[in-house]
Amino acid sequence: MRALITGGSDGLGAAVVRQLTQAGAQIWIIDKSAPQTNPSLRFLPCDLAQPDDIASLPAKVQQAGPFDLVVMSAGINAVGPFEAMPLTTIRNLHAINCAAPILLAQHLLAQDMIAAGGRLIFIASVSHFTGYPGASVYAGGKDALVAFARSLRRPLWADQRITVQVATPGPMRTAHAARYAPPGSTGRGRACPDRIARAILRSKRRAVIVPGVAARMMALFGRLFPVQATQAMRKTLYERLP
Amino acid sequence: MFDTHPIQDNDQPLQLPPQGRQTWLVTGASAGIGLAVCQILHAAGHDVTGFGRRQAQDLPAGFPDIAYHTADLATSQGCDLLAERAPRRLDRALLNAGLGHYRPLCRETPQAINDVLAVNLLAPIMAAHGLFGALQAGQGVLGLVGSVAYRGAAGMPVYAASKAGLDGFGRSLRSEWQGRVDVRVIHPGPTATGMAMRAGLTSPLAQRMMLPVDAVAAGVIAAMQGQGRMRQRISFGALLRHKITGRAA
Ligand SMILES: NC(=O)c1ccc[n+]([C@@H]2O[C@H](COP(=O)([O-])OP(=O)(O)OC[C@H]3O[C@@H](n4cnc5c(N)ncnc54)[C@H](OP(=O)(O)O)[C@@H]3O)[C@@H](O)[C@H]2O)c1
Repeated sequence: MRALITGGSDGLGAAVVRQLTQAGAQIWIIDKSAPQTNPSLRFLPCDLAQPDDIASLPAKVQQAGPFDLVVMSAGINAVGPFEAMPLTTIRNLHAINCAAPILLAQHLLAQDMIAAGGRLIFIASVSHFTGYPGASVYAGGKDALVAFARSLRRPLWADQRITVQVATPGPMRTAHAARYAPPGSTGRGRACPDRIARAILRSKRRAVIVPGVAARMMALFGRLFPVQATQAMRKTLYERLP
Repeated sequence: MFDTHPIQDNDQPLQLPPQGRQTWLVTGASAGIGLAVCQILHAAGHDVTGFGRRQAQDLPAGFPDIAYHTADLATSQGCDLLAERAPRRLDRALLNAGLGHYRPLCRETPQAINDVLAVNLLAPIMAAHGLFGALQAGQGVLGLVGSVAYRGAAGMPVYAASKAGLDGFGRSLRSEWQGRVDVRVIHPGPTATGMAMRAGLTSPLAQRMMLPVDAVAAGVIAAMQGQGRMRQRISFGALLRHKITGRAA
């Protein structure tokens, strides 16, 4: 199996890479910095904030494809009151989390780089069900990916037998999550990224994958009581911002 | 870039609205839903500042006598200009400018994808950032115009993504700004404007399924008044309910 993973050097992306390595897949990683753990992985440096960098990617992986699995896991976050957020941070959040996966999907599909029978997985966030006060731009970008994946799902299956999915993980024990947690948070209750990666890879059919027990509980709460769920997120995150 | 339409007698406000005169900012004021919103607001005696991409001399004949500024919201300069030219105190800001194409992803181009995401999602985020002070000063309402496509639409994946992004942004921002600025996301159904025509919805059946633009504009304005929920849809059903009960969707 050939797999292309964005954000594969770190966090959930790296956990996906570990799972796939165990399964013997051939892996190509797209990220800003090279993976620390396993230097034998094929690595394509790319600044996903730059549309031109994204456009140059398919040519670089032309020989490697078509891929049986593409996981769009690269993402950044920034927390803080929206009105105080620097404009460059907002632009980067938009470019990397929202525009980049959409543009890369378009490039890969336009050049037949995803194999028939393959999977295309976007990584969104459980904030899709709960809202995320203190990270409004992040939450918006992730919701965009959910709708994008839902929109692509039927046509891509009908035309090319490609399965499109979106995963909405909750808090994980990654450098990313630790950086954006409220101060004093112990990190308990965060899921292990390897378990989440396994849950995502195992779920071969679902349109929306909610991986892990904590994320499933948050999603259920958010589905049943959307207003209260956002209020609870406000209390636990936004009101504890420094 | 003020527009200088001669003030005609029949252009004078007929009556002041019961809540009093409000200061509004409307993007996408030069056509479609935004234009109809500006016409209704001006006729009702409100103070309106409109923004559009086209130059003032290209405005349609029925354009009301309001302040108008040109700003291309696909660019960061356009977003800066909006914040600069906006009134210092706002009762209502309606971020309505948008575009979209009815076509599958394989027929999209990177440039068009960037434009749709920039105008429909990034520009309203930037505008919300720039208008926060003015809206807080007026204890105002921020309205983000989405679309019922925000839940996903096979025929327009990029447009659907942009509107879902707006919905998710608005939901979280509403919570952040609670007690300071009231944030709402308004999702119209298919409306008979130039956008729908350009988007390729031209079949007779599509035409008949389309909401009339004046009714949608009135629904949008109603959704910006009084106590309102975060997410409001404007559909045939909602318009009918509004007619009967007088309440927004
Ligand atoms: N029509 C529908 O079926 C429908 C359904 C649901 C939601 N909506 C939403 O409702 C809003 C208004 O749509 P509409 O039907 O009234 O569309 P429209 O008739 O095409 O008008 C679009 C408005 O947005 C402005 N605009 C477009 N690109 C811009 C840019 N780069 N910079 C600044 N302004 C720009 C246009 O300015 P210029 O004309 O000067 O270029 C125009 O004033 C949009 O957000 C749309 O997504 C429409």
